[in-house]
Amino acid sequence: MTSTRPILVVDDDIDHAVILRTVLASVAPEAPVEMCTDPSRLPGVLLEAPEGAVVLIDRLLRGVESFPHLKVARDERPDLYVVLLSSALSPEDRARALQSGARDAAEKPGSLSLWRSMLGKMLTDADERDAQRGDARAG
Amino acid sequence: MTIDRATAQTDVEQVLLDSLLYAVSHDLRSPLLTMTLSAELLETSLGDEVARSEAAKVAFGSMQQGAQDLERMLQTLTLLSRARRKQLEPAQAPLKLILGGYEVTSDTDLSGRIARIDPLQVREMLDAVAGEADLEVRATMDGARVDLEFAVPELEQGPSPLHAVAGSLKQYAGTTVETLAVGQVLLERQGGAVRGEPGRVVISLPLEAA
Repeated sequence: MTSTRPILVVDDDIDHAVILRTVLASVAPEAPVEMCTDPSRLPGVLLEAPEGAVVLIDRLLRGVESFPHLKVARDERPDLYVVLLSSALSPEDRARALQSGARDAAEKPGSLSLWRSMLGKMLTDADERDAQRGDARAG
Repeated sequence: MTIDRATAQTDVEQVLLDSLLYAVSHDLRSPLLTMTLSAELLETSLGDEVARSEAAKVAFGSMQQGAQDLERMLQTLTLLSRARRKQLEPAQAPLKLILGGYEVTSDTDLSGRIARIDPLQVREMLDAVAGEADLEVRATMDGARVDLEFAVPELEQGPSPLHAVAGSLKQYAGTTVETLAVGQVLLERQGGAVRGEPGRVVISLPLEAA
C-alpha cells in the first residue's frame, strides 16, 4: 500500500523541487505534495505544515544552512518527520542534522531509481514511527 | 612583507582555497543532478521513441556517460575537501597492528614501535592498494620515522598521489590513487608524509621514541 501521508518539499532549487515532486508522484501517487521554494517563508511554512507530514528540506537554502529550521521543527512540531537532503553530505553533516532534530539525512541520489527507493524507504520509516507511537500511547 | 604577515596571508589563502574546494564539490553537483535526472525523466517519458532513434540513443548514452564522469570527478573533490576539513584527534597505534595481515619485509625489528598516526587511515590506504591480492610492504626505519613502501601499478606520475590527482582528475578520480591522495591529506595533517613515483608509493609515519 502506498503512503497517503502529506509531504512538504522545501528546496530553493526549483528544478530539484519539481523533479522531487515528479518522483513522489510515482512513489506515493495519493500523497498530497506541497512545495516551498522561497526560504523567506520559513519557519512559517514548517509550523503550518499538515499534521504528520514528511518534510524534505534542502541543507542549503540560498546559501544559508537549514539546521536551525530542524530545531524549530523538533521543538514546535514534533509530529513532523523531517528529512534533510543535500547535494553533498558528509557523515559529520549527517550527524549534525540528526542532532538538530532531523529524523533522517541523506545525499540527493544521482538516479531516479535511487530517488524512488530512498523516498519509498523514508515514507515507510515515517509510517512505522507513527505506528510505534500509536502503540506506545495505547500501551 | 614580514615572515609573520606572509604566513598569515598564506593561512587566509588556504582557508579561502578550502572554501572554494568545498563550494566547487557541493555547488557543482547540484546542477549536475538537475541535468542527470532531467535527462533520465526525458528518456523515460519518450519511451519507445528513444529506442527507435539511433541519434537519440547515442545522445542519451553520451549524456549519461558525461554525467557519470563529472559525478566521479566531483566525488573526488568532495572527498579531498572533507579530508581537509575533518576534525582529527591525536592517535597512535603499534606498527605491528597497522601492518598486520600484510607481507612485511624489514631490516630492523618493528615490534614495540608505536606510530603517532590514525591506524585506520593507514589501513584504509593499504587495503585499497591490496584489494583482494596480497600486498608486499617494505618497512625502513629512518630515525624517528618509518617508511612503508609498496607497489601501486596505477600511479603513473609523482611526486605524490595528491599531485597525480591534481594533475589528472579525469584519470585518477574513483581509483586507488584517489584513496591514496585522500589518505595523504589526512596523514600529512597528522605529521605523516606520502610520496610517490610511477608504480610505487612511500608512506612515512612518525614514531614514538623507542
